[in-house]
Amino acid sequence: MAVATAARTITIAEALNESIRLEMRADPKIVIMGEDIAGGAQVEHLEDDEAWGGVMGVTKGLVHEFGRERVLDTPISEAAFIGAAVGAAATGLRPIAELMFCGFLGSCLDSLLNQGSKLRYMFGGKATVPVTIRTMIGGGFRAAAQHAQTLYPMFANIPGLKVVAPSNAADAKGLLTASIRDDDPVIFCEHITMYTLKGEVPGGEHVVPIGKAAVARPGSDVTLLGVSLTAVHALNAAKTLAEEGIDAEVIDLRTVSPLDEETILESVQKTGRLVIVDEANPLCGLASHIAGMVASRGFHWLRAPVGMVTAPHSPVPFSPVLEDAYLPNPKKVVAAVKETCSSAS
Amino acid sequence: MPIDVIMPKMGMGMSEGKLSRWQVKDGDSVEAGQVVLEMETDKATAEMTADVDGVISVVVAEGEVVDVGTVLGRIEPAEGAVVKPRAPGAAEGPSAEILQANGIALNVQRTGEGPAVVFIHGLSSSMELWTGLDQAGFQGRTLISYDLRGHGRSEQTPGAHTLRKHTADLVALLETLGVEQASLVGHSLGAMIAVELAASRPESVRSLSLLSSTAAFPQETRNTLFELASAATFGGMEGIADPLIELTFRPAFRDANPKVVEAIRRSILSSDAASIVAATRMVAKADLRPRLGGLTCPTQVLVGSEDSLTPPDLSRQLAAAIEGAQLHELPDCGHAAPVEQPAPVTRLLAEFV
Amino acid sequence: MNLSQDQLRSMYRTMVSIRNFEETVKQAFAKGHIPGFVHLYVGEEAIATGVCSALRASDTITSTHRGHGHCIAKGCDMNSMMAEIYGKATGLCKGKGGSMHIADVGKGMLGANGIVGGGPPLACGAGLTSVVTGSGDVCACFFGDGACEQGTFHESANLAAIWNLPVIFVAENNGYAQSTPASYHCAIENIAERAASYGIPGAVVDGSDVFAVHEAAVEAVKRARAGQGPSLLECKTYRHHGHFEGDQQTYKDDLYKSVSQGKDSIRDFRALVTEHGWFTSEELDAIDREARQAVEEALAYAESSPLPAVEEVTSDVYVSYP
Repeated sequence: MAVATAARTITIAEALNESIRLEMRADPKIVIMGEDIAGGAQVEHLEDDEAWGGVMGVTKGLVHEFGRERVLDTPISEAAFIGAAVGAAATGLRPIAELMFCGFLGSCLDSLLNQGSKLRYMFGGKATVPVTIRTMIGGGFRAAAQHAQTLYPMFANIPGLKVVAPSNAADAKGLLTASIRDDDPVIFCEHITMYTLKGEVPGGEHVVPIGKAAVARPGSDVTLLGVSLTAVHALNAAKTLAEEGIDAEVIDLRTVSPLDEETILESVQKTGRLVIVDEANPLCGLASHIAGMVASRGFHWLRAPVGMVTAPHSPVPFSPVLEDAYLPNPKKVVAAVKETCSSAS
Repeated sequence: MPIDVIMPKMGMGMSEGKLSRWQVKDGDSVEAGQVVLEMETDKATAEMTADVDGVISVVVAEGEVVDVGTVLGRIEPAEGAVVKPRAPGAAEGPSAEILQANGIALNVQRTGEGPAVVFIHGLSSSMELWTGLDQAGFQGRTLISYDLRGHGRSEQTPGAHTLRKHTADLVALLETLGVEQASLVGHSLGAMIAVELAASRPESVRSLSLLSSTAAFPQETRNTLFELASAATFGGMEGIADPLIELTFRPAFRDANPKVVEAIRRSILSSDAASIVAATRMVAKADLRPRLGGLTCPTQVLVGSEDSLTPPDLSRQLAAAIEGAQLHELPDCGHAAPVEQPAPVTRLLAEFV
Repeated sequence: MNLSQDQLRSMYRTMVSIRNFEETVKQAFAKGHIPGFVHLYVGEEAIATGVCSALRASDTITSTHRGHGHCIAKGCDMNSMMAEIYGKATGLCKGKGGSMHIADVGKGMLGANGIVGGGPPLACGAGLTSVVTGSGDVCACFFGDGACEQGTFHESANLAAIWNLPVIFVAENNGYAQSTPASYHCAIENIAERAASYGIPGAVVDGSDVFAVHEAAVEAVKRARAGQGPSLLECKTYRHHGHFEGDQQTYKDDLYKSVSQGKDSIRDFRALVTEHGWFTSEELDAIDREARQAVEEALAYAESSPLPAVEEVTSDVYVSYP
């Protein structure tokens, strides 16, 4: 009896769960660890039940199928268990570790900055570190400064790490599968507000290659570039712009590192205008990097200055009025596009 | 508070019925036990009686075909009137009762006299699985069926389902009912519970009838069950009702009995997803093979020749591993043998228990 | 123990204020009036109260994600606290921090903290300030059993020991790190035993007994102020509610639930002080009423306060940033 392979409409949380489940089934070297990813470890009355299945429920059911030997609740010791995931990867396992919020990078930075990302290089190519770190990014949950950050530029700034951030359920499944199978350390960024977002997802094996951006909507007047939630913002903005006669092409970056420069440049060559939407802070950020790359390699195609919609250079505020003002949204994107399109050329 | 007169469900296959005739008029005074209306299904006709003394108001007109559960009329109870339990043999059949056992509420139905035969349904089903069997075939037996925890009208319990918990439920239920020894008839998951009880408390089990079951699922089926559990975890019962039905019934049966299938689909959809998820994961992981060698009671194994969830091979292995077990393969039969082939199932069980 | 009538009254008021405050937050959160998420201190009131009543105003504390009780015990204004939790401009942090980052540096409350184990290194810093400036102040560092497994705790305990810093490490062991039981995440039964490996005193006290907590805290503060260095105080306690509001708590077993229900610092305090004739029930009831009224006022204040101006998003990132 084969597992159903028909596409279904499911949430991003379920798509991630499915990817992990199928990969763990196929490869006994995969273990998964994190704080409360099953929850209630060794609580007698729970028997083999989980208490949480992860703080966002993404890992629900894994402990039932794979047991607590492969689904490991950890103490609140990010330095230890992210480091252990790196160490296990370097010695033959293929671990998935959950860093609950990307802000907790602060508690385990050494494991990623000085160990996981550099072992292969420092050892002259004689080590591989096939670890996947799933982590939550983004605002919108009123979670305040430490739990709402978008740190993919920091991760991407570290050579040796790959950085992935899907914007829909199908890509979530396909990119997570690719990340788990990848022999390098991959930081897999999941947006806190997107777990319940539904989309059609292929059943069975589904792989989306790391490093390939998607043209999520073809268009001719302006290129809108986003990643994770900002790709969704870009698509929504494009709909509004279409009603006003502006035909926007939307590129969903999907992977931050390695960066798919060719897809970006091809689009800019076609449209001559670029607006980048990025929830991270702007200084030395993703938007500024891409703007720089396009200025460097595609300046002659640009008919207007590159527009950027980013978070301001401040921590994420708590109060909803402030957080809403802080975050990019489709309205801000539409305004930025109009400004870009009104520029002379 | 008015007491509703509702279109009863007479057997698992029934999804709708026709109100053929009112025997009383709107506003009439009725007495408890008095026949108030006649109804019919494609299989049978029946009379319905008032549950309470009072004044009846008509809601559904004669001749209408309505879904099971539809309110047909309402009786405003007379002052001081007491709602009377239905007499056995009334339209809804033997009455079920809620009993406390093993710390939870279990929905139990009991009928007949004599040595006990306990019917244990399978995953995402209920005691209604057995309604197609002909009770007349079991003269001289007390027939007991019940809803497993988290199923039917039994209590929904949080947390993992384990065979240990299900077996403890059954042990406690037998104690509550004063049954010292019983013949166990289990379907699928129910058969696993029966095996577990027979292995752990042989003195309580007179015989085992294992329908459409296995001691352990092959890995591929386990994966399928885990997929179903995950789909229900995230999406509720909606996403798994159809796959469950496809696993349970032959295509030919589905085509020939759309109303039966529809009724079962509705019953699955109304199930508690968390309970079904927990039970599905338990079934997927179950491995009773180490228990089989120790079984000593007479055992029969029944399987549909076209069972795709627990194919005949699994039952052959099961029978081969239990000393002296008889094996019966039923032609033109899928996984839900008691529903698809009630007559031969009744005959084989009645001869054995 | 030498506690004056005024001190006892103050301790009782603190405990019932915390209890009332938290239950009010719980209701407001359930109604959807509070953004984000909240972690409640109900059941652990005696720890903040017992420790902070051993401190002076210029002493400092570091706190946790479960920080409302620490704030109240250190004397933060409940109106401004509630306003902060509501995300209002009048909040202690102008609505920018919220429940998880609530702070009042002026009162020596160095912040609730969203990072488990974020507090202990800061406490070492506060201790260092005291030593260098000669202020004689001490820092009480609150953290949970979960934080005991963070490297920051071990590193800070050692640093405070070798630098002889006036820090009181207060482990609030409520039995669970989120849903993970301490019996799983901690290799030993008593966190306080770890003190031996840093060469500092360690003690286990009943965290629902405000007198026991206070007595142990007084001793630790005395040592710290006298230049004898840090101590580790483990307070065994019970979290009456979930890790966060909305947590189903399936991981709590019946024993934990029944013991935690039986542990009520406020009820025990009442029984003891009335039994000894220090207070009448009527006097305590009056304090209850005052505390309830103060919390009701705080709620009304928060609800009627203005939202922050949008321009505040980028203010206070730096002192100056041309």
